[in-house]
Amino acid sequence: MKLPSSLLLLALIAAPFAQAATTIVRGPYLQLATPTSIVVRWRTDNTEPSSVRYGLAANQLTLTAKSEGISTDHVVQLAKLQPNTRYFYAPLTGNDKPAKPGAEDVSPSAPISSFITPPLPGPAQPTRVWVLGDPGTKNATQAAVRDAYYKFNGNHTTDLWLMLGDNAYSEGTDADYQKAVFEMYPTLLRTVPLWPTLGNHDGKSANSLTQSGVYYDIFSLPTMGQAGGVPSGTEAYYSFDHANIHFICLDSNDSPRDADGAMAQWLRADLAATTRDWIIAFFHHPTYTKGTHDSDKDSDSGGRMNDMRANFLPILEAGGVDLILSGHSHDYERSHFIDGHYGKSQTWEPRYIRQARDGRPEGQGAYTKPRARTPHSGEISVVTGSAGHASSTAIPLNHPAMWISLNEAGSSVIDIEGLKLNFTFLNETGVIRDTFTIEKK
Amino acid sequence: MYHVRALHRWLVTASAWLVLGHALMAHPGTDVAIIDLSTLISSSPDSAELRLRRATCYIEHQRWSEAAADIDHAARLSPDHPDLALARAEYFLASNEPLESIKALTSHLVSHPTDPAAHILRARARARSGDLVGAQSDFQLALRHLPEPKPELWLEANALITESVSALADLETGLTRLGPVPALEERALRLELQLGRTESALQRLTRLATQAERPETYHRRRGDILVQANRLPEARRAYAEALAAIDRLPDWLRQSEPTQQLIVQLTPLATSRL
Repeated sequence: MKLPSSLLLLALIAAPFAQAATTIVRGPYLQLATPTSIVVRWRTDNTEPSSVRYGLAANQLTLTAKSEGISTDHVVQLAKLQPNTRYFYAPLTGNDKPAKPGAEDVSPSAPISSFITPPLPGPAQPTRVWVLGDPGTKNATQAAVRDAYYKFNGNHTTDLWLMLGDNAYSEGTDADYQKAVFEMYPTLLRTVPLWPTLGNHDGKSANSLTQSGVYYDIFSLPTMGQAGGVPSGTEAYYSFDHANIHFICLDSNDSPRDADGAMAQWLRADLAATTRDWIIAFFHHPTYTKGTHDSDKDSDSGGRMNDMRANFLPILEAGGVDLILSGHSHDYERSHFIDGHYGKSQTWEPRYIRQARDGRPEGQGAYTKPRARTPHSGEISVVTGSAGHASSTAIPLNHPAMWISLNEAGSSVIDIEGLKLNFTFLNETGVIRDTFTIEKK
Repeated sequence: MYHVRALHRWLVTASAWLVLGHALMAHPGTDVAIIDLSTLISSSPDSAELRLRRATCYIEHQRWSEAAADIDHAARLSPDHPDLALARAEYFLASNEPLESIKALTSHLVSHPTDPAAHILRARARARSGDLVGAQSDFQLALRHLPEPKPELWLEANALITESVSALADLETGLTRLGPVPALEERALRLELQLGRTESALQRLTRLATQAERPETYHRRRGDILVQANRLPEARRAYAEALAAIDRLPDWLRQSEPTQQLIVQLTPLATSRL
C-alpha cells in the first residue's frame, strides 16, 4: 500500500519529537531509611519527572510521591510511612501514560518492589544485617560471595546491608558502580536499604571535602540525624538507628582524622547521646590487620590505619562500642574480645584481651557485656574485606589481636535478637568459617 | 595495519590497567601506589592523568623533585589538562611556595571561576602567605559554591576570622546551613563565653538539651556556667534538671558507670547551698 505523501511528510516531521520508551537503567534502590520515610532512587535513559507510586499492597499503589524538576537520576522521598511496615512501590516512567490527559492516576509499568520500613528506635526487634567489605571487583568471586549469602539467607528478611568501602573497583567511577553494585545486587538494592562508607578506591572519584564525585552523587546519606543520632553536617560520616542498634559510619579515607577534629567531636557527641542497646561502628581502614595491608606500617595507606587506631578507637571504646567493622585488607580477621590497645602489634600484651575464649556458645562460651553501657568493657574488631576477592598471594595473618584470620573470600552476617548478637563469616562457597556471640546482661 | 596497531595499543593499555587494577586492589597504600603507577606509566607513557596521579602521591611523600618532574611531563603531554593547575598549585603549597601556588590557581580561576576546590586551595595558599583577607574571601567563595559545605571546611574558614564577634556570626550562619553540628556548636559556645555572652551560651545549651536524646550533660554545663556567673539558685535548678533527665533514662542506662558517676557529682550540686 502506498501512503499518501502528506501523511509521509507528517510522519517525517513528527518522528524526532516522538518520545522513545523509557528504560530504567539503574535501580530502583533504597536509601536513608527511617521508621517513617525512605528515599527511592533510580536512573532512566530519558530525562523525565521523578515520581513513585506506592501503597500497602502490590495492587493498591494508591499514593504518589514526587520530586521537583526533571532528571535522569531520580531521587524521591516517601514520607509519612508507618514504622515496621511493608510497602510496595514502583517508579513511574515516561511509559506510564495517565488514563486521561492531566490525570494523576496512572499504573506503573516498572516492576513493583517492596520494602519494610525500619521499626521505631529503641525497642528490640530481630535484625539481620549483611556486611560486605571491598566487594566491588565485578568478578565471579563477588558473584559467588553474593550467591552464598542469598542461599544462606533463604527467605529470611535482610533488614539492612552495609558496604565497608571499595564498593566499586578500581576507580569508583559511575561505570564501576554500575557494574560492581547496581548490576551485581539488583534485587537487594530495590528491597533493602544500603548504608555505605567510603573506601580508598571510591575516593579516587570522590572528594569528601567538597562532598562531590560519584560516591556522593550515588548515595543519599543522613547529615541532620534524620535516621537517628547526632547531626554530622556531612554525608562523609553519619549515624543511624535500627530498633535497638545504633550504627556509626566514619570516613577513614578522606576526612581529617585528628583526635579533636570535627569528625572526632561529632563521634563523641553521638556516642554520648545514644540510648540504643548496641553500638556498631564501621569504616574502611582497619585498626588492626596483617593481611593485604599492615596496620604496623606507617606508610601503608597514608597512616590512616594508625589514625583510626590511635585517635578513634579510644573514643569508640570509651563510648561503649560493641562491634567494629572494617575492610581494606582482603581477608577475614576477627579479634579477641579486647579493649585498650592503641599501639602497633609489637606493643600488644595479653592484658588487652578482656575475655579469653572463642565467643561461641557451643564452644568456650559467648562473650558477655553489661547492658548498662560501660566504657572500655570490650569489643570485637572484624576485618571483613574479602567480599570481592581474597588475597591471591600468601599474607601474614598474624596480628596478635586476632582470634582467627582467614585468607578467604566471603561476607559477614550480623543477627541481633534483643540482647544477643550473633556474628557469622560465610565464605564464597557458603561454608560458615567463623561465628561468635556477644550477650548483654 | 592501522587497526592492528590500534588493537595492539588497546591491548597494551587494557593489560596495563588490569595489572594496575589488580595491584591496586591488593595494595592500595600510597607507597605501593607509586610503584603501581610507575608500572602503568611505563606501559602508557603518554598518559598525563597517570603522571598527575603519581605526582600527587609524590607530594604526599614529600618527594618534591619527582613530583615536579611528573607535573612538568604531564604539562608537555596535555597542556590543557583540567587537573594540571590544581596539581601544580598543590605541589607549590605542599613544598612551601604559597606565592607560586596562588599564581597557578589565579590563572586557573580565570577560566574556572566557580571551582570550589581551587578556591579552597588558594585560600590555604593565601593564609600561608599571610594574606588572611584574601584567604577569607576565597573560603567564602568556596562555601558559596558548595551546595553542602563540610563542617571541617567551615571551621577552617572560621579559624581565619580573628575578630570574635564576626567569627561567632559566621558560625551562626554555618549552623543555619549545616544544622547543629557539634564542632560548630562547641566553637560558638567557646566564643560566647569568651565574649561574656553568658545568656547566649545558656540559651544555646538549653536548645541543645531540648534536641538531645540524653540532655543531662548540657544541663550540667548550664549549671557550671551559672556557677561561674554567680547565679547559684539557677545553677542548682540546672543541676536538678540534669538529675531529672537522668531519672528519665531506662534503668539499664541509668545504672551505667558514667551515669552513676554523674549522679554522684550532681546530687550535692543540686541540693547544697553552693
